[in-house]
Amino acid sequence: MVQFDSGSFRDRSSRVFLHDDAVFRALTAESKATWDKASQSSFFQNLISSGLIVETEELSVDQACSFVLPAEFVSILRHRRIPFVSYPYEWSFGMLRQAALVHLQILTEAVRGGFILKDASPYNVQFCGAQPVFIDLGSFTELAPGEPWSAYRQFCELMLFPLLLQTYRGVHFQPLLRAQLEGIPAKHFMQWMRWRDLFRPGVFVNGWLQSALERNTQSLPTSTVRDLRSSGFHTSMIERMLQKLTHLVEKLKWTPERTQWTAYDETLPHVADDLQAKSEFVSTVCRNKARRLVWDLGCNDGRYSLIAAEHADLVVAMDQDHACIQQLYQSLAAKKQSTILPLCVELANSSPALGWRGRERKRLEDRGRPELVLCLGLIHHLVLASNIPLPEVIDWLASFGGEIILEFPTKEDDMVKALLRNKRDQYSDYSLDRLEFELLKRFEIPWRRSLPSGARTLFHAVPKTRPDGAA
Amino acid sequence: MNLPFAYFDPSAGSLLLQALVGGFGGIVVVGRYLWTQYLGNGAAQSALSSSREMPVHIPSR
Repeated sequence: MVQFDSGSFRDRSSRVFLHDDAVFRALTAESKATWDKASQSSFFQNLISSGLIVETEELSVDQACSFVLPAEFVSILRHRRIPFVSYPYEWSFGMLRQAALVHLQILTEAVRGGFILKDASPYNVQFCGAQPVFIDLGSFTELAPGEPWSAYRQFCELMLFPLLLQTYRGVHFQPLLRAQLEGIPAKHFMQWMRWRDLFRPGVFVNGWLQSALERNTQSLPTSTVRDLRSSGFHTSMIERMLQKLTHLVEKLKWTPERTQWTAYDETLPHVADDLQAKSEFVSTVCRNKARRLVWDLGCNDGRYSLIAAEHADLVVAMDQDHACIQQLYQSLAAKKQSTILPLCVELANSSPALGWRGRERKRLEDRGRPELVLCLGLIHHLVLASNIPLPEVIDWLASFGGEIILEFPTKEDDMVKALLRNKRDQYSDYSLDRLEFELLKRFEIPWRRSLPSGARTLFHAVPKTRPDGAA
Repeated sequence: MNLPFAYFDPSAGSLLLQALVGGFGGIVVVGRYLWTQYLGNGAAQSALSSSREMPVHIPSR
C-alpha cells in the first residue's frame, strides 16, 4: 500500500505520495472528473505553458496499476519534482508577495474559466530558485454559480495580513507564520494596527471589517454559502474582489532597514582583503565536480552562492537576516535565476518539524542532503554569539554527510574581538588547534589556506570514507 | 445544484465581505441576505416569545 506524504491529508480527495524520487498525486473519482475538465481547458493550458503551474502528466492505467492505493482513489498524476521544498516562514517579503500574486493570477484565470481554487495556502506555491510555481493541482474545482470564494479568509490569514504587517509595521512575519501554521486571524492582525493604519490600503476592509463581520456572524444558524447564493451572489463579485486584492498586493513594498549585514562587505576591512582568495578557493572546490545540492550557510549577499551555482543544480542560500535575503531574492528574481533558493533561516534555531504530530512540515535538515556546505564567516557567530560549543558545530556540519568549506577566524580577528569585547571569554574550545582536532575526527582535509587578512583560514573538509565504502 | 464546500470553515463574515466589496450588485445581495436573516430571526423570535408567554396551567390541589 502506498504511504501518503505526512503533510498531505487535509484534502481527502487529492493526496500526494513520493516514490523513487518522483512526486505523485492520487485522485478520487470526483477529483479525477475535475482534473479531466480543468486540464482540457484553455486557461489551464496557458498556465502550464507559462510555467506557473508545475508540469504534470496523468499515468496510464498500466502505470497506475503498479501502485496499491486505497479503494477511493481511481487515478494518479505525476508532478515534476521541486528541487528543495521551502515554507512561507522561511521566505522573504518579496517571495511571499510573489506567491500571493501567483495565487491571485491563477485564481483569476481559473474563475474566468469556470473553476476556482479550494484553498488559498502559500504552501501550494514553491520556488525553483527564485521562480514561483503552483503545485497543488488538486485544489482546482468547478465553480458553481452563486458560490462565493471560500478561501478568502485563508488568503488573508496566510498571505495578505503577513504582508501588510511587514509593510505597515515592519513586523517580520516569519516567526508569526512559524508559530501559527494557520496564519494570523483578522482579530490578531488588528491588534497590531494603530488607528491611523485604518486609513492605509487594505486594512479597513480586509482587517477591521472582516474581523467585525466574523465577530457578529459566529452564531448564524444557517449556511451563509447557500443564503448568499439564494440572495443573488454572482461570480463577477469574486472577480472584482480578486482585482482589488491584486492591485493591493502589487502596491505593497517593504524597504528593509540597513542592517549590519546588508553593508557587511563595505564596512569591514577583512572582507575586501580576503575576497579574491575566498572566491578562488570556493570556485576551485566547486568546479572539481558537479553537485546536485549545495547549502550556503550565512550567505549574506549570496556572492559565494553565485560561484557555487555555476557548478551545482541548486544552491540553498540561507541567512538569518531578512534584509539580506530580501535583497538577494530581488536580484535573483530580476535575473530569473532558478538555481539559487534564498531562505531566511536562523541557523542556531533552524526550522523544526511542525504541524500535526510534528510531521506536517519537515525539518530543514530532512528536506535534502547537501553534497557540499559552505560555512563562510559563520562559525564564530555560532560559537561566540550563540554560545554553541565548537565540537557541537562540527558535529552538526558532519551530520549533513557532505563536504564542507569552512572559514575559521582566530581570536586575533577584528570581528572575533568585537564579539568578545563585552563578554567574559569562556570559549577555551575556540582555537585553530581544537578546530582541526574536531574536524579530523570526521573529515579529511585535502586543502587549507590562510587568508591575506592574516587571522582567517579556509578548510576544505571531505567526509572520511568508512571501511565499507560509505561516507 | 449542490454547492461544493471547502474542507475548512470559510467564516460567514469573510463570505459576506466579498459581496460588500463586490460593487452595487453586492450591496443589493447583502441587503437581501440581511432581510432574509431578519425575517428568519423575527419569525424565530416571535415563536420564542409566544412560547414564553404561553400560560401554564397549574392544577390546583
